[in-house]
Amino acid sequence: MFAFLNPALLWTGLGLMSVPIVIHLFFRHRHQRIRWAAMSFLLAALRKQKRRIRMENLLLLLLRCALVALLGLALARPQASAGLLASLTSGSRNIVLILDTSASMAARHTGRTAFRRAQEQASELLKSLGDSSKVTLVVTRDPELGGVPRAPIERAHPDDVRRRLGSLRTTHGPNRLGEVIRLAGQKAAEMTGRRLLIFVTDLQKRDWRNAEGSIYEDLRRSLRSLRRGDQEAPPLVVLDVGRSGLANVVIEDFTRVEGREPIAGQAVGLAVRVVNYGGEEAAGNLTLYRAREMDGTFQKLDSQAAKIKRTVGVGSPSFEEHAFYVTLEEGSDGPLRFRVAFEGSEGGRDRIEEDSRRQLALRVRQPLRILPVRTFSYALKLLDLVSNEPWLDWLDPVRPADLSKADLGKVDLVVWADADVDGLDAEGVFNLETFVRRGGGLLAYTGTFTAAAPANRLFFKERGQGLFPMLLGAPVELDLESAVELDLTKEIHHPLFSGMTSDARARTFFGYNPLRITWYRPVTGYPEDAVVARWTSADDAPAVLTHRLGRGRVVVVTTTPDERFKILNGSLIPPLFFLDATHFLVSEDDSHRNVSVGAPITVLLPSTTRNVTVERPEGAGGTLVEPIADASAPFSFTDTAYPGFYRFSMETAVAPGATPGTAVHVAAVNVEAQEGDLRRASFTELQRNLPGVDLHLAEQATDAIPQRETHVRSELGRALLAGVGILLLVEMLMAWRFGSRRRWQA
Amino acid sequence: MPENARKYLDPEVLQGISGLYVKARLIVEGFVSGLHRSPFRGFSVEFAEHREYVPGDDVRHLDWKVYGKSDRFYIKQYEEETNLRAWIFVDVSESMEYGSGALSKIEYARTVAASLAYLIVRQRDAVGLCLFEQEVRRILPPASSTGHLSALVQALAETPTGGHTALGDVVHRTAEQLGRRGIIIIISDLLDETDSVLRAVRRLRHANHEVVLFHLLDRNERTFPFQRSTLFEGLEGYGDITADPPALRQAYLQELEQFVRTLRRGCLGDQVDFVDLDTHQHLDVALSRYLASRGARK
Repeated sequence: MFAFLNPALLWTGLGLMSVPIVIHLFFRHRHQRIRWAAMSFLLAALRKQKRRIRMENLLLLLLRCALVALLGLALARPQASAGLLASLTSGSRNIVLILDTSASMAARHTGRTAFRRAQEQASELLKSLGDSSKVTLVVTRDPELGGVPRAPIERAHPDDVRRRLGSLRTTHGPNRLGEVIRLAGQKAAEMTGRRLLIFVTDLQKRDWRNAEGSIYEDLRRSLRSLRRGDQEAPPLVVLDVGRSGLANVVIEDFTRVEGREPIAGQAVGLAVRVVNYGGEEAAGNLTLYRAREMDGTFQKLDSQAAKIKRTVGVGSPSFEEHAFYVTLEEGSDGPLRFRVAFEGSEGGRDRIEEDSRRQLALRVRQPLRILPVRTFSYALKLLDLVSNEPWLDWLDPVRPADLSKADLGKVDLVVWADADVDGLDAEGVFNLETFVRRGGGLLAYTGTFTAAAPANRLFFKERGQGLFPMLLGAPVELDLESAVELDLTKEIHHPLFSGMTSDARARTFFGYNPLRITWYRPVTGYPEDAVVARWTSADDAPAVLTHRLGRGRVVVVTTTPDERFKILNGSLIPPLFFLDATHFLVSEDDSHRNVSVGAPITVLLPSTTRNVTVERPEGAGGTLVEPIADASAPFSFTDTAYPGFYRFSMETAVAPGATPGTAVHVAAVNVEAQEGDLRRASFTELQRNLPGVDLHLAEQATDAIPQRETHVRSELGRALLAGVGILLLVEMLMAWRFGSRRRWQA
Repeated sequence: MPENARKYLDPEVLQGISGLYVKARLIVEGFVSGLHRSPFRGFSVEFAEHREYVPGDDVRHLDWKVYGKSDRFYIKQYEEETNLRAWIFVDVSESMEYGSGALSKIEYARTVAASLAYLIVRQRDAVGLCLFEQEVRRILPPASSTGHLSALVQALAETPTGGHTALGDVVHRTAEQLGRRGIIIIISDLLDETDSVLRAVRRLRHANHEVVLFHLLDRNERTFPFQRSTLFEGLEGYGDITADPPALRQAYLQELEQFVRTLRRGCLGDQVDFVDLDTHQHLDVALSRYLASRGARK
C-alpha cells in the first residue's frame, strides 16, 4: 500500500520505538533521595493510586512509543500506492502521454537505455492513476508510418496503456516535435475534464531547435489552442529521462567523393566524417566493410590494399574526416554495398550503436562507349566540351556513310552530331534502329545540316515506329492556352528530366535552365509517350523530344515548327544540353540510393517494369512485391524506418514474347546522424521560450502529476506530521492530567 | 544571650510586628495591667461603666457622685488590665527537621517562638515554653522578665530534635502545670493523628485557655513539587518509599488537604485559632497576619 522515499528512516523510527522503554528502564534505578517528613500522606496516596498509576504509566508508555514510531513513519516520507492514491484523490484525469521514440532514446547509460527508463517511468505514472482516468498514448515516431507521430491507443484505461508500453521500441530517426505537439494537442482537444500533457523525453536539444527552426512557437500555439472558455490550457509536464554529459561518437557522413563516378576499373573515393559529441576524446578503429555480391555478408576489405582500417582519435567536441579509396573491379556492374563502422575502444562512448556505423550503396557502371556521327567539324565543339568526362569513352567520329554494324556493336550510345543524312542508306538506318531496339541510345542533334526532308524519310515512321517521333519541320499544333511553365524536378516526373542538372555557369551566361520548360499538352501528331519541351527563353527555343524504341531510347533535340533552330548556330546551349542528356543516359544520382531513415527511396524504373520486389533489411518486414502500373513514374518507397540495405529487383519485359529481364537497385538507409548529438535542452531554456505555458519539469514519475495527486501526497506527509503533533499534544495533556507533566523516565 | 539564640530575635522580625498588639480573644483573668481586657471588673483602676445597684453588690463600689446628682445608686465598674499568661508549645520532633528553603521547619518554629516570646515579654506579659515531641523535652514556666526571655530563647536554641509528635500525650501531661487560663500557642507540623491533636486542643479549651495553633509545614510539603523519581526516606520511623512524584501529587495533596481540613474544622468548632504557616513565608508576614487577625477580632 505504501512505498517509502526514505525507508532507512522508517526502520530508524521503528527502532526508536524502544527509546521510551529504554528511558523508562534506565531511569528506573536513578532517583533522587529526600528525607521526608509527611510520609503519612505519601503512604496514603500511594495506597490509593498504585493501580491507577500503573495503568497510566503503561498508557503513557504506549503513547510515547506510538509517537516515536509515527515520527519515523512521517520522516520516511511514505508514498501511497496507486490504488490508495486513486481512492484518496477519487478524481479522474485525461492524460495525453507522449513517449519519445526517437533514436537518441536508444542512448545507453549504465547499461540501460533512456527509452527503458522512459517505459519504467511511464508505467509507474500510469499505475498512479485512478481507474476512471483515460490515457491517450502518442509516440513521437511510428516506424510503420515512416517516422511520423501516431497515437496507437486512445482514451484507454491506464492499465491497457501500460501493457502497450512494453511492445514499443525506439526508432532510428529524429523527432519532428512540431507534428508531435500538434497531434498531442488534437488528442487533448478531444478530451474533457482535467487534462494533462506528459512528455517523456530525453530533452535532446535538436528536437526543440533543429535545422528547420524552433518549435517553440508551434508548441505555444498548439497549447494555447486547447483553452476552452474558462478552462485553461492543460499543463505540459516534461518528464526527463535523459542524462547529461553523455559522450557519443557518430559517423555523420559516408559518401562517394564528388567528381568520381563509380566506374568499373577505376578507384572511387569514399569519404567518412566522424563526429564526437562527447565531453572527452574518443579513440577507436574506423573500419570499412564491403558486402559480398553473392550473399550480401559484410567483410573487411583487404586492409593492405585499401587501408580500410584507421585508428582515429576524435577530440571533443570535434570531428575528423577520412577518405577510403577503393578500386572497383572490372566487371562489377551491380550495386555495391559498403559499411563503415567506428568501433570504440571503450563501448561507453558509443552510447547509440546504430549511429556509429553507416552504409553506402553505389551503382557501378562500365564506362560508356560513345560513337559520334558527324559530317562537319563544328560538331567537334560538342566533343570538346564533353570528351574530358572520365566516364565517357569517346570513339573516333564516323561519317553517316561509315556507320557499320560492327561499330554499333561496340558502343552504348550514338551521338548524331548534326550530320548530313545524305550518306546514310536504308541499311544504315536499319542498323541504327536495331541498335536502339536492343538497348542502345541515340542522342540526335538535328541542326542546320540535318536536312528535314531526307531525315524525315529515313528516321520517321508512323505510330512512332521510327527513330524519330516526329517529322522535322512539320507543323505542330500546340494548345497554347494550356502551356504551363513547370519546374521539371518537382512537377514532371519524367526520367528524361529527373536526373538532369544544370551548369551554374551556363545558367548565368546563356539563360540556360533545362529544368524549367514550357510544357504543351496535348501535342497533336506525337506518340503518347513523347514529351515536348523547350527552353524558357522563347527566342532560342528548340524542342526536346524523347522517344522509346524497344529497349533503347532516343533523345532528339530539334527545331520548333517555325524553324527558329537556325539561329542557334554557334550557340553553346545545345552542347550543354547534350552534356546533361548524356549524364542522364549513363548515370544515376546517388542521393536516391543513400537516405536517412524515414526518407523515401526513389527508383527509376525501366519502361517495361511489371513489378518491383523490395527486399528489406533483416527485422524490417521481409520481402514485398509491388506491381507496377505506370513505369514512367519513378517508384517511391517510403517504408524506410529501419536502417540497412533495401534491394529493389525490377522485373521487365522487353517486348511481347521476349524473356523478362531483371534490373537491380540497392539503396542504403542510415540512422540520422543528428540523433547522435546527445546535448540536451535545459528546462530554463524551455521556460524562457514558452512564456505563458503551464510548464513543469519532473524527474520522477511520482512528481509528474503536478496538482491534486501531488497535493494528496504532500497532504499525506502533512497528515502524518499532524498526527505526530496531535499525539504529542495528547501525550502532554495525559502526562499533565496524570500528574503534573509526568516525565518520560517515569 | 548566646549568638545562635540571638538570631531568633531578628530585629527585622520584631520591627515588623512591634506596632501590633496581641490581644486575647477571650478575656483572661488576672490582675496585671496591660492591653488585655479582663472579664473581672471591679479590681482595676480604669473606669468602665455604671450599672444600677442590685442587692448583694459591694457597697464600696457605689458611685456617690452619681447618687448626689441623680439620687440613684449606681455601681462603678472598672476594667482591670492584667498580664497575659502565655505558653508557647514548640514541636521538636524529628519531622520538624525537614526543610527545603532557607529555614527548616524547626528553625522556623524556633524563630517564630522566640519572636512571640519577646513580644509578649515586651508587653510585660508572662510567657512560658514547652518543647515537646512524644515527651516533654523542656518546660519553662511563664515569666515576664528579660532574663527569663534569655533562658527561653536559649532553651529553644539548645534543644535538639528527635522522636515523633504526640501532642495529645504532651498536653495530657502538662495540663496541670499550665495554671490559670491563658493563651496557648502551639507551633508544630502536627504530623500526628488528627484525633490526638484535636483532643489535645479540646482539653486546653476545656481548661479555658485560648489556643492558637500554628500549623507549620514546608512549602514542598504543601505543594509536593518533585518531578524526578524520588526515594523518600521517612522521618519519625517511617520506612523508605520510591515513587514517581507527578503520579502521586494529586492524591498526596488530597490527603494533605483532608488532613488540614479536618484540623481546621475541629479547631473552628473549639474556637481555636488555626493558622497555616509556611517555612517560605517571611516571618514578619506570618506573625503580622496572625496578630492582625487577632486584632480584628478584638
